Amino acid sequence: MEAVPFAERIEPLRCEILRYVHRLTGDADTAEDVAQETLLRMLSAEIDEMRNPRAWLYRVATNLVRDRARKSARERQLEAPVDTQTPDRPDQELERRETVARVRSVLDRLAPRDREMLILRQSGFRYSEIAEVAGVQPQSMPVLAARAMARFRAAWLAEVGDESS
Amino acid sequence: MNHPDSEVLLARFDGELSDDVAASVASHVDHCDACLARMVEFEVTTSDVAAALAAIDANEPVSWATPFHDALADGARVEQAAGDRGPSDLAPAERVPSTVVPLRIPVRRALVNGRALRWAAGIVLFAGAGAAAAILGRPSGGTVDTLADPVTATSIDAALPNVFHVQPVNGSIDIALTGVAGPTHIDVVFAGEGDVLIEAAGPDRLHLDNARGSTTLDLGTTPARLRMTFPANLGSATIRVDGRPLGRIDNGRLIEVGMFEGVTIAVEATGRS
Repeated sequence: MEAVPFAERIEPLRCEILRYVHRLTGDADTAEDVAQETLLRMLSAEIDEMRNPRAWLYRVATNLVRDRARKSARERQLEAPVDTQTPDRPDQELERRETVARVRSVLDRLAPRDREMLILRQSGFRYSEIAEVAGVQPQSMPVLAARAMARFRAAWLAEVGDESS
Repeated sequence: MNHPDSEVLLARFDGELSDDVAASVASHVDHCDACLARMVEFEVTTSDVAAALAAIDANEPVSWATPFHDALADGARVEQAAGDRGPSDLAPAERVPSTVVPLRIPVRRALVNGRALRWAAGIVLFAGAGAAAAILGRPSGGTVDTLADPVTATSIDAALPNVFHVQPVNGSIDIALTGVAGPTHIDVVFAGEGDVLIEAAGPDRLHLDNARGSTTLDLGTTPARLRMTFPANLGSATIRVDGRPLGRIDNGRLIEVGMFEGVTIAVEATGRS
């Protein structure tokens, strides 16, 4: 396989980490800082020693987010509604912001570990990989995943109700 | 048999159980309305999580653009070449504006009750069995509009992303996989209106609808084809093959296509209004 420029190799990972941290924290600045720090750490690490580099990156990013949460008592905050996607009509923009606020409210009610479980599971990681990223025992993953799902469901219904049924 | 615990049912739902345990749980669920209801709840919750994350993602700054790399696929239209830059040069680029599908909270009604109204448009995925043609020298990740030529991972290099980000021009996408054979577990979760159609031609043929398609197909050793049709206005979706992510769709547009060793993948964007 021919060599691929390094920037091309890591670009999808950078995007993944950005999105992952943004999902965890809801804060764009934090996501950018953590993604940058994560990739810098990758540069100084022995990549050959990484059994699963993608999981390794997620683990570093997860730990950086946890460190930041510990250092700051500040609650996660929604990023300012600027510099986002296509400009919406005012009613659409209002609806979108309300939607994001409700979703963020649901996610913020969860314990950080539950959030990690949900997001990593939704990102397609296997239980063994989630355990590696989150730093938990693999055998405890089924229970932790089920617990996170149940807690999300409760928070979701509390926030939006069962309007769908 | 006693009712399996929630974690066992969820592990079954996630394809994390061994074959024998999974078969035992499946047999129980087939005859137990209570456990079937819990499985359905996993479906709904998974869809709700997907919808929630899609809403968060839709609020990403536009500066988080994904550069386009011209080395990724012959014939692909390149939006922006990143060149051979170092990590410190990864300056944010302009994101291609996407059509954001307004999140409907919750989506359960649409998922459960909605019938397919827009089968013709959307995303079609073909999975076929057969020998994979080895194509060497292909990069293992990046962002393109279209993977005009098939790409085969002769080996999965764990040091590489092994993920293609495909940004369709007009919306609909065909993904063709060859090299898939034997029992193959297909799992689809999506959020949005409408249903997902899963059809397999060959040794197995099935037709699933509603929110989540999750099944194991024995594609055998002879060429077979799996076709999934997604609604045109799909909000988000994840597709797993044998527990590994094959593709992900956000806001009906961004597609991440994962690589599978020995499997040839071809993606072609087709028009969608």
